[in-house]
Amino acid sequence: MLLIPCPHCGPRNQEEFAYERTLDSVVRLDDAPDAAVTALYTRANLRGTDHEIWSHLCGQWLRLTRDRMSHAISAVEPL
Amino acid sequence: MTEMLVGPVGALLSLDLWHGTDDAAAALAAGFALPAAGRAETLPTGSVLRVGPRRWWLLGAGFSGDAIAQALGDSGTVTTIAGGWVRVQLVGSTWRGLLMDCGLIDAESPDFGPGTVAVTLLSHARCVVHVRDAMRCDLFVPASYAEHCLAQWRDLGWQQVAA
Amino acid sequence: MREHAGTVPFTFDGKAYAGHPGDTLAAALVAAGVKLVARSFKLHRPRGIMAAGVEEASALVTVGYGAHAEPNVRATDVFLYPGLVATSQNAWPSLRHDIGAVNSLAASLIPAGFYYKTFFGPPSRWMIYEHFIRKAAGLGQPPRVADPDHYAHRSAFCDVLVVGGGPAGLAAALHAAEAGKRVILIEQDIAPGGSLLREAVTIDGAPGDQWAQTMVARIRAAGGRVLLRTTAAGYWDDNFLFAVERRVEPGQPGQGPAQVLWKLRCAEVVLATGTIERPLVFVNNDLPGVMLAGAARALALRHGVAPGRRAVIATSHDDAYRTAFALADLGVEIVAILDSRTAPAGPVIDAARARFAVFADARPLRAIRSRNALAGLDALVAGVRQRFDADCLAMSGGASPVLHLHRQAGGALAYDAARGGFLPGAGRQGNTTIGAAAGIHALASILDQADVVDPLGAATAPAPGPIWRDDVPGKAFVDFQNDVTTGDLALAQREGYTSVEHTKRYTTLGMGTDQGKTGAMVALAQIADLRGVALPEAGLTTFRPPYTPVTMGAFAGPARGDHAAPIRRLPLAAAHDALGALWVPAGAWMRPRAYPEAGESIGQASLREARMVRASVGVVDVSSLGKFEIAGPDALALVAAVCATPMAKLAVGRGRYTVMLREDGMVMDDGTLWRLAEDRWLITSSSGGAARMSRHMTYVADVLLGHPRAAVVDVGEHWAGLAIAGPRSAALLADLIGAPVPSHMGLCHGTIAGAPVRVLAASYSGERAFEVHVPGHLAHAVFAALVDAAQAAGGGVYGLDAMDHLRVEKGHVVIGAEADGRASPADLGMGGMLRKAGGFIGWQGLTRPALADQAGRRQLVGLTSIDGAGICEGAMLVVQQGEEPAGHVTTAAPRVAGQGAIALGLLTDGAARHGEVLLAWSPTRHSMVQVRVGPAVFHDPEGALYHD
Repeated sequence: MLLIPCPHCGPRNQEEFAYERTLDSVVRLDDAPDAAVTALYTRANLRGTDHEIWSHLCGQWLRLTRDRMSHAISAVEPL
Repeated sequence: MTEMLVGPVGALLSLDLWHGTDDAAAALAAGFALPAAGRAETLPTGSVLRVGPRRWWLLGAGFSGDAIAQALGDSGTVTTIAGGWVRVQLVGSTWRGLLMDCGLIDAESPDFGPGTVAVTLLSHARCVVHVRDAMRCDLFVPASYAEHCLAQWRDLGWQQVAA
Repeated sequence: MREHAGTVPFTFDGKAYAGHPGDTLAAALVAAGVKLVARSFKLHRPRGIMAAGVEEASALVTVGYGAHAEPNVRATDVFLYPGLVATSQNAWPSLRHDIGAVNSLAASLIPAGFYYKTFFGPPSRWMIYEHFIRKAAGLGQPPRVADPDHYAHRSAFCDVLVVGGGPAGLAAALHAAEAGKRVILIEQDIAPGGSLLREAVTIDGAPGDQWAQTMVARIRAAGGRVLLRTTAAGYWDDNFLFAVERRVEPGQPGQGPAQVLWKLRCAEVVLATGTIERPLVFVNNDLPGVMLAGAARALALRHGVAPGRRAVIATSHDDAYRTAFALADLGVEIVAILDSRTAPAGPVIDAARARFAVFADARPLRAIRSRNALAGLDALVAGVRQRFDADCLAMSGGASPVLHLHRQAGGALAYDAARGGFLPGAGRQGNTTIGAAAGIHALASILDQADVVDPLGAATAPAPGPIWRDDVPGKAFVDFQNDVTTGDLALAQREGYTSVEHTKRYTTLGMGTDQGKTGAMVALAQIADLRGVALPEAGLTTFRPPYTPVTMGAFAGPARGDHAAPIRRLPLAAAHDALGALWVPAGAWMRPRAYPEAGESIGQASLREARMVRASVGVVDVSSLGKFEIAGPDALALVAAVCATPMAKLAVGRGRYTVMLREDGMVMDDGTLWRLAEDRWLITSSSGGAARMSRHMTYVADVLLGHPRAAVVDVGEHWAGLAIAGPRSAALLADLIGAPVPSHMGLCHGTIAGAPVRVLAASYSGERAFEVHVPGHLAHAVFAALVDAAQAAGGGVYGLDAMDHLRVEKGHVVIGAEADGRASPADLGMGGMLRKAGGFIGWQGLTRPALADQAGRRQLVGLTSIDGAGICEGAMLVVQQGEEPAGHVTTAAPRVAGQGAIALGLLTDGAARHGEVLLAWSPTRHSMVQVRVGPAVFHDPEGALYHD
């Protein structure tokens, strides 16, 4: 179980967080349909460092920079 | 031994400020301090708990939602939420044990002292923890989960007494 | 030798014995002269005690009886308590006369990979093999009744976690505790000391075991927490470990939790897990009487038990010589020390030569069996075969550092040729390994601050013996628990299962409850030798948690029975109980399904309740619906992103039905949207979708819209919701609030029974209806007033089933049934409701060709049973029996207004197929009903009833 530093609460256990998606699969409201569909269905699925969106149960959304092999979190930013 | 006193929360308002609002200015307008992350402020009128990045709880009948909303103007909003929560007051020297039995948060840390507020999972329910002092801790349990939580805590040996 | 008549009574296979307090069951059995303890897993070979701790692979017994019984307990890992009942496993009719032992004779018929070979050929033959294999190979039986024990979970956080209470771990824990750190020390034994419990050393003037006790007291005095009888079994990311503390021994009834599962989050982890001794590989090395040298020494020095009368020591290094001295001091005759080295030398060897017959270049070839136990051995001494009589053979083929946790944590390994094995490399999570587990054996090096007196000189690293390939018939075991022999390894190589992972699966090497503790490195050396490669090139299998078996009860903890999953209760649960509600789980919620009267079935009750609503008035609890208030200057922008229907022109005090889409254009949820004030909105959602909707809306606000000046407040639990539906609902409600009620899709505020309420005129039933919202803690009086008024008007309460009947008749879709995640708004007949300009979540997804062009989509239809028979939910819709399904029934209901049966369904091109007759066919439930396709509304299609 990961220990994720919530920008608001500090380090908390993974069970308090929900994974949302990778940053490259965010669909903006004004994205063109083609771009939106690409973001939804064509993912980089990186072996290595990726940017992920998570939320903490306190209501904080965060962007994790996480190594998907080692699970190591190298950066966390509030969203 | 720690006892659990169970009752309604009484008056409870959610105060939400927009991102980018100046908290100090908002506090001045509202007329009470807005505690920092993970902290509570105890006032004569009640308590203010920071429960989220932009959310505070105003506990106690001394807060007037309409007046605060008016004072805040366009920097935030106030919503009544009292019906959704049950308060479980833990009284006794071993209250930290209950949190360690049912949760995964460092309630035994020296940093987890009076005035601490934490939002965490206890027995799978999203609860708000407010440390009052060495002998007292308030838990706010979502009303729908209260029966499940209390039954489990009783089964674990924590004693429920009439509030 | 100690007096054998102990004070702790116990039984083994029904026979009464007595042991000493602090003895393991294994020690007490050896003391009582019991050699045969178990039958092996596959071949049913006789087995005795081989090890002294959790690494015991063979001596598995069932401890306790009835509901308290715990199978597969290692006899070396259960400590005596009065009344302990131990039973042997995997033997019939008895341990001594085991029919299954014929497997041993027929062993050539069940070689490695036998199980897989049975997969070839016809399945019928495999079924026969399967039966035979299951019966023959096995461990103990789990009890068939509920476990009466309690199990607790407990979290703990620390600066430093030390795993292992041997000399290295104790020293590290005390050092950290005295430095003011929060320290937890975990030791799996009942006593601290680790290797000190089996060594004749003194530290700071005290015997090793007493020194360890003193250390524990000092750690505790410095504020550290010491958990004995606790095993760290798993090590995950970010220094999260779990450990299982046994508060009582296996099978032992007791007060409080039998086991505590600790969840540990640690800033730093220090592994002082010691080593596990390796066996030597020779024919019949599994006979009762053959044991690890360290285990024999532990029996002698810790328990005062002699493992036999005449002992041979066979070793490849100095360390096992200590066993000779320990046994001899207890009166055991040391027949010989067989040292595989050609010229062993040093102070220990010199001391041994002075007392014992020491043979260099000597090793066992074959153990000789007599009456299920060791009677002697054939050895090769300087190339010459020689026989020794012995009832105990203490062997040591080196030692393997216990690296399980280090590897689970992603740590690297470093091969050490001198030790013939692996040492821990860099820890990936900043964890360190110390003491013998790190290859440091000399106590003086581990305890550099202490005064260590070891009469036999400093301990040295136990080196492994070379691989011998003797032409001696018989079985030489590498994995004792899974009956894997050198022959099996060779067979696997011959048949092409050369990689260690393949060998493992083919031979079952390293599997079972043992996970290769004693056997893995021995087998690896054999495999490397067979392949002609260096040991590291042979590879290594994964170290998986748990390190030692963990009972299911410990994992479950308090989450069992009623607590298996959280149950959400309605604020009015007690009031529903008083009305005789029959509860049904709906997601995490318990909701009233119906309120049956005496003699009524659920179906009859639900139909009565639904008809009551159509005829007069009914009250239903809809508190579990999601409710969200969105307030602030930018609230409209947030609502517009989430909801796909128009709302900008909605007047304050008005509401409308709305639908929320996923980004792919499919319906995510539906509900009603209300404008409470110019910049304050209320959105309702389905009960099951409320949590998802809560998250979704904050995602839209914080991630997509970049923090608009608007807050989303989840008020689902704050407001209890009570729906009042039926032709008399408006009059009833107007009476209660003392004011006119709002028109359809309007709202008003008022008080009922002194409580403030909000009244929303919305309907899912097809009748004029209202939702009364009242704060949950004030809901009882309002509910009572509504129910009283409804009953006075000829109505009453209704449940979930009646609600479902009513909405099916009206053609309202439900999230999870019709909106099943694959249905677009157009599929559900809502295409026309969406905002033409887009701008909502999912607008891009809807432009995908497959959705834009409706052809071939499954569309919502109404289905009427032609002969009136009930339609099966989930049934497929086919033109003729046996054809590919063209759709399926999503929800079925009896006709409320009138007779017969109806349903909603999703049907390919359904909108164009009205009038068609299909079969609703469920082969699994033996139901086939002819249905006529029609519009998905059966009741008041124009909505005339919504207007007063």
